[in-house]
Amino acid sequence: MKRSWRSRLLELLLWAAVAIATAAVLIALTDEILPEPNF
Amino acid sequence: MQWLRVLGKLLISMGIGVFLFVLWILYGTGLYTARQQNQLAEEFDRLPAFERQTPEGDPLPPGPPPGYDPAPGAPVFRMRLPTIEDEPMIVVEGVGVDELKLGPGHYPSCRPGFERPLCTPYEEAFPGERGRVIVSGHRTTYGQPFWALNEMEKGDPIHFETRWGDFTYRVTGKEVVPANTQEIVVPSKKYELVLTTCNPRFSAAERLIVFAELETEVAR
Repeated sequence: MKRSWRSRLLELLLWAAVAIATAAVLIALTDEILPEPNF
Repeated sequence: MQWLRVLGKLLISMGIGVFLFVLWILYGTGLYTARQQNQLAEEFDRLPAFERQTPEGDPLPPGPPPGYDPAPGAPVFRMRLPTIEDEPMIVVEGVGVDELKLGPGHYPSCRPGFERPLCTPYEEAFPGERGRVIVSGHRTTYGQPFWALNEMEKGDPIHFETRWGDFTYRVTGKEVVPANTQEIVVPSKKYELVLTTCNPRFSAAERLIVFAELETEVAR
């Protein structure tokens, strides 16, 4: 079944949101992820 | 195999997220520090110079006045390492995670706002004073002020602009020590400076230490 362009765009936005959320979580946890004390 | 397709897309998206995170660490943190340094430079330039003599006209010893206890993250002096870095850097008080995001940090004595092990029980020394002035900075990320610290050689100058005078130190040597060494943060009877950073790059396993001694003072 052929999907509409709107459906494909929504899916792309969904995966982009997942990528951004992943980056945001990692940035928020930067101080815990990097070795301490980190210079 | 619809679920496998979804899983594949999920992993690709998360991989792009990790890539964005690495970009932030390598470049975004530098932009953050550059903006903070601009604000700190403006703030530092607005601060008045300290008196260099008593009301009777007697010269005061080099250093800030008694009771000078800058708050964590406050700009304390400007430092320039002309052999490895063109731009001067504002050094802030404190070497905690938050302070080093702003720029190089001056190792403080333990007092409210500073806790062990990121402070010394000894009297802290400022540029121009007798004692060991200690400045720590990031080797990578957050503007990487000490990225090329390993390239400093004996005799290289280190300039300081402070509210109590301008000073030049000369590098006397360098050393790599384990990260947990306690031998660096010690009192000294000499007029010396110690710069510390992580070694090797992108690792916190060791510390690179550069030693310097006071050469000249230029009254402001």
